[in-house]
Amino acid sequence: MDEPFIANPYATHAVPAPYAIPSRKTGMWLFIISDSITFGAMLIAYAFLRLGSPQWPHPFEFGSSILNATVMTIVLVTSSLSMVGAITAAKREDWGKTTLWLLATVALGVTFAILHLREWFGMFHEGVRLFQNPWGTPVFGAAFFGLTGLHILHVTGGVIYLLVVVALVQAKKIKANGVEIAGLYWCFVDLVWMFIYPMVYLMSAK
Amino acid sequence: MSTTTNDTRIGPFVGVWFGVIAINLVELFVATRLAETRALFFVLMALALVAAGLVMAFFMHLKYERRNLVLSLIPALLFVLFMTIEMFPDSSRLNRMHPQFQPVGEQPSTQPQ
Repeated sequence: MDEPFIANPYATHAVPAPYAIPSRKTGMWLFIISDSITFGAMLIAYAFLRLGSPQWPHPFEFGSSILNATVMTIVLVTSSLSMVGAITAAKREDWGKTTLWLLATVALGVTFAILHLREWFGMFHEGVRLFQNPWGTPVFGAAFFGLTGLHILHVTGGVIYLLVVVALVQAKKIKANGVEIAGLYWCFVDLVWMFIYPMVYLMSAK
Repeated sequence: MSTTTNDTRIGPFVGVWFGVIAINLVELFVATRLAETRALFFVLMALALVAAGLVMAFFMHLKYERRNLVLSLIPALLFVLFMTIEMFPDSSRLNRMHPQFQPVGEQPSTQPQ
């Protein structure tokens, strides 16, 4: 046996990368898959409660609330596109445009968070709390705030992550691959919203 | 090292952006038309899966990665989610067991249960 990685199992340079991507990117994919399971479990629990409760509240009006959620969706999908813009600019090594696209993504992320918090405060004003609400099944508050709260936590974390990437771009300490890994995370946040928007908002509209 | 697309233009992704927005608007339209909760749920989730697939394939560049990466990640995820969904029919049973359940077409009872 003359295979070097058997003679020295720690000589990782001797083993070709199985997915032809850097290990950091593989790590981000593994994180995304594990996070998908977390969100998947929460979405399935939400759907279970939604379909299993005959008195599920319908607090979202097709006028203002659903319009707000639809605008939030468009903002988040657009932020994914601007993130792709940052990745393509980074691949061209056009770091000025990379920074601009990243800042546009951050601005859209902050806009999404503001719209979301505005809606949350509107619900607080209507009397919705974690374990009670004025309309029906008490568990609605826990399910709604739990799921959307976890998502907004990811959006906030993503905005901070992107700001760190902007700083690294300015300091010339990051390559296109690093921007692409940040883009993976950000687009995953968008991907999760593709399920939250119809399940939480459209299915509880009146 | 990466096999990710070397396309350095944003243009090809604008079409995907339009597609994802369009799917969300179709979801909105369906929600205004379809009243039956269970049917609405399955239609919306089918559309959401298509939108999520577009995001994953194009915005997350999974379409341009090696197939063995996709085969390592996605089937395992689907298996775990499927095992969670397995208990899902119970939600329908719970609903029917509820004292305030009314079959479709009947008026809700005003008598206390």
